[in-house]
Amino acid sequence: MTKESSHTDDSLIISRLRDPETRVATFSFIVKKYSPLLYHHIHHMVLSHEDSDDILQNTFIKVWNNIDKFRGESHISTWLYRIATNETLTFLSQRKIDSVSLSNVESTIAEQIESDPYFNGNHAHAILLEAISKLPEKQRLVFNMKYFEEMKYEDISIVLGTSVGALKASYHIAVKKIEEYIEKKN
Amino acid sequence: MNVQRENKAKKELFVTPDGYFENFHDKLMKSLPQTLLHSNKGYYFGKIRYAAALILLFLICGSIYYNDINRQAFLYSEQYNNEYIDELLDNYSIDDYTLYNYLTEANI
Repeated sequence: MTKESSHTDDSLIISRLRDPETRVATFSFIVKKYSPLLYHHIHHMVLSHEDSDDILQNTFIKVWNNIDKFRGESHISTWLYRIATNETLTFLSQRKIDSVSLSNVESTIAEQIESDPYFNGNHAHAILLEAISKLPEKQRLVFNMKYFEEMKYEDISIVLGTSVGALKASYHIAVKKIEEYIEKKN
Repeated sequence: MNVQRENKAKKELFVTPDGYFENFHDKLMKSLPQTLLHSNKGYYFGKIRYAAALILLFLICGSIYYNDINRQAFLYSEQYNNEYIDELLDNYSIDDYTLYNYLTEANI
């Protein structure tokens, strides 16, 4: 899809969201279209289906409640990613406060992942996810968005409000840390 | 291990339960807060709020400008009056010497 046609689509969606007659149907379309993308974006950060489900629901409720505040200055997808990211980070900071023995939980992340009924990878993948989970939150976000979601640095930059140069540096550092962690594990 | 090359083949490492996204959609649509469901209130309230803020700003600026103009006019009139009075006093007041001459000549 070209940028121009994407903008046209967004304008159409925004005008339909503002019209009470078409609001619900348009919101339903948005939920169907973006749920899978946002779910995986959230899941890469929290690594739990139940938590991802809760965060995804909160994200869309927030979107619904703030439809009038969206001025169309960015793409709808960017706006959704931003809200989902903020909800995820809020959840993670809350989990940090709630969890007293987080270090013990983190040490067994690979085993926990492998016992997850929705995990579709092998032991090496579980170790990779464990290594990613050891990164600081911002680096983890950048790595996931680049590596798993294959987003362009320019798009990540708009979502996270960070310069492309800083994102490239952050991704590079994340890759180095992950490689070192996996080397140690082996 | 080279992270850049390995694991690329399998990007989605987690699956979702069968029919998850369909169920999620239905559950979410049923649980939507009713506030915006059929109203245009929020959108137009936003516009009215901006318009009210603009009118208020205009009134404040107008009031400041009007007060400034009035103050300048008052100061100008005050200054004019003082100058006018000084000039009158300079031209028409009679000092002691003039008064003496006047009285002597008049033989009073």
